[in-house]
Amino acid sequence: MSSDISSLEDFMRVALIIVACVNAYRGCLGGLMTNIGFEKHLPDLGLITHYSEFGKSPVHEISPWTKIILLPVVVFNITVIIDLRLLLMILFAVVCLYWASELPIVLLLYWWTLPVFFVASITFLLIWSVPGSDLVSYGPIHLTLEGVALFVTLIVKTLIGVTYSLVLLMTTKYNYLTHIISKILPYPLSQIALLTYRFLFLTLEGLKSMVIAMKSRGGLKLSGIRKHGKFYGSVFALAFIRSFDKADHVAKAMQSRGYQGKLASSYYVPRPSAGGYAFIFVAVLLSIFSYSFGRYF
Amino acid sequence: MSNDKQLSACEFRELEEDELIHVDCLEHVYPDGTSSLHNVCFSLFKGEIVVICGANGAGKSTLVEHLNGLVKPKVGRLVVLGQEVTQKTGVITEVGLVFQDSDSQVFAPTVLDDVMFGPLNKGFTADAARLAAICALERIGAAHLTNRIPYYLSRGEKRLVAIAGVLAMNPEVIVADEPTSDLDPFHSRQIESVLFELKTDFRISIVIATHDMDLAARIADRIYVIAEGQVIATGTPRDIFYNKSVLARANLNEPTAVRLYKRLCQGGSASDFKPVKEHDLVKLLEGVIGKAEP
Repeated sequence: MSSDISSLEDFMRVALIIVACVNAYRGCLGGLMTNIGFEKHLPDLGLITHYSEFGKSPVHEISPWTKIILLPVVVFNITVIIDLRLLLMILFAVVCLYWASELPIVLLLYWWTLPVFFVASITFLLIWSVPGSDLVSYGPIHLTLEGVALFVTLIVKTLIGVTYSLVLLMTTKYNYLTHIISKILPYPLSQIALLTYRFLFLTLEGLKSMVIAMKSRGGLKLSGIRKHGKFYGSVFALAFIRSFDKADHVAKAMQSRGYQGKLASSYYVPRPSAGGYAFIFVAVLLSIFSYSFGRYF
Repeated sequence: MSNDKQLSACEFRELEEDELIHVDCLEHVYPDGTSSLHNVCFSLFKGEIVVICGANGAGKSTLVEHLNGLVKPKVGRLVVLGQEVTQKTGVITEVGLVFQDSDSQVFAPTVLDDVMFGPLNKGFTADAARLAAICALERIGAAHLTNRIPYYLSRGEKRLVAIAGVLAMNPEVIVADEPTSDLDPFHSRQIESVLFELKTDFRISIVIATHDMDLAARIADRIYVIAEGQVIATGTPRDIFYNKSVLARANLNEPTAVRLYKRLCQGGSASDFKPVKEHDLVKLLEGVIGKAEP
């Protein structure tokens, strides 16, 4: 009997945690998006371009090559490092870099919402089956310390990736990116990457206006996760379909101005300075060190 | 004035001197089998402004997209700047195309980058392209937009940038599709005066596709009226705008000046001088009032 009662208590705990999580999702994400406006959670393209083209921070002065080379280093770190303390340190360093770039911190918090939502919606299902020391359990369902750690780890990894990507995009001129991508990727991959990058801006712009148009007709007054999911699903699908039409127009406009399959780039991109090389070297060394010894922490 | 009788038996014409764009018996069929252009003949001569008038869906934009070889003629002949356009010909960049949807045309991160896009494609160095872009923006009075971000521009400003984008490529012809549609009167006038100055100051020939009859009346040297994919009339603005049946067939209105003149003439004797532009009408009225004064 007592074991039944304890099982029931466990069940209640699990149920309460699930309800709390769902409410947290609804409150923090759904509510936030509904009340503050979904469009604030989409990166502001004009603002990104403004910072990348006209920013004057010390990070803007760093050679684009240095920032690009550091990207795979960051990706390596978030792929192989599993120690949460190390990942939190990297996140702190990347946020500091963002701050040093004189980029808007408040907006970063908004822009984190969608990636966190995406990752959380997947990992939320995974954490219940991670073995380890139980926090709560009911039958086959176990919420372990390791499960919670996995959840937080994946979120932190996502935030590192998103934040560094934003730093890169918001502190590097598009023409420099064009030049570098055309140097490091073979044709036609380079062209695909460049056009995708540019076209992403146009698609997001269309998406934003679509959300605003739907919002003005009461589309976002829907309540409930399912309805919200359906709403955003249809918006994204519509944006995807419309992007074909848009792509056709853009391609015509580009062709009529002489585009023949290769984006012309004749910019000089400054090479990394001695300090830049040293920074890359230290970052690579630290990554290897973290990977080698991180697992023993 | 020629009319649709000529189109029943379409024949290739001789290329004339100073003819920059020559179109003979052009046909265009959409993939679903709908005919969008049928037996279209068109000419553009050096230093003139030709306006293609037609209602929505008449085939203006399709014709316009042929004029620099962006769309290749499958049936008919298209000669642009002395070069015959075939399926293998590339786009002729000496004919600059300003699209109706400036949002799609202006896609680079900054205005300067966007205007430099064409010159860079033509093989200019970065410095030369920058110079060409700045000159083009100055020419049309948009130098203040140089370092702006296109997303934050108004429609009128975007249209100016789109014009600068083709102007930077030193075109001999500029083709503008609905250049003043969805613009406020101020920006509409601004675009109109920019196009007019390009003709008068830089001897650039202009083709404008529009259903704005007042714009056509003010700016055109010659007019083509297009309806259901066919050219149903060509001539001077005066020929076209005083031909009620042509305008009715093309679902177009008379320009304001013509409409007012006709109203004023109702019941009275018409003047030999038929005004097309508001300015002409004002002159005429001034003359009438001057005579009537004691």
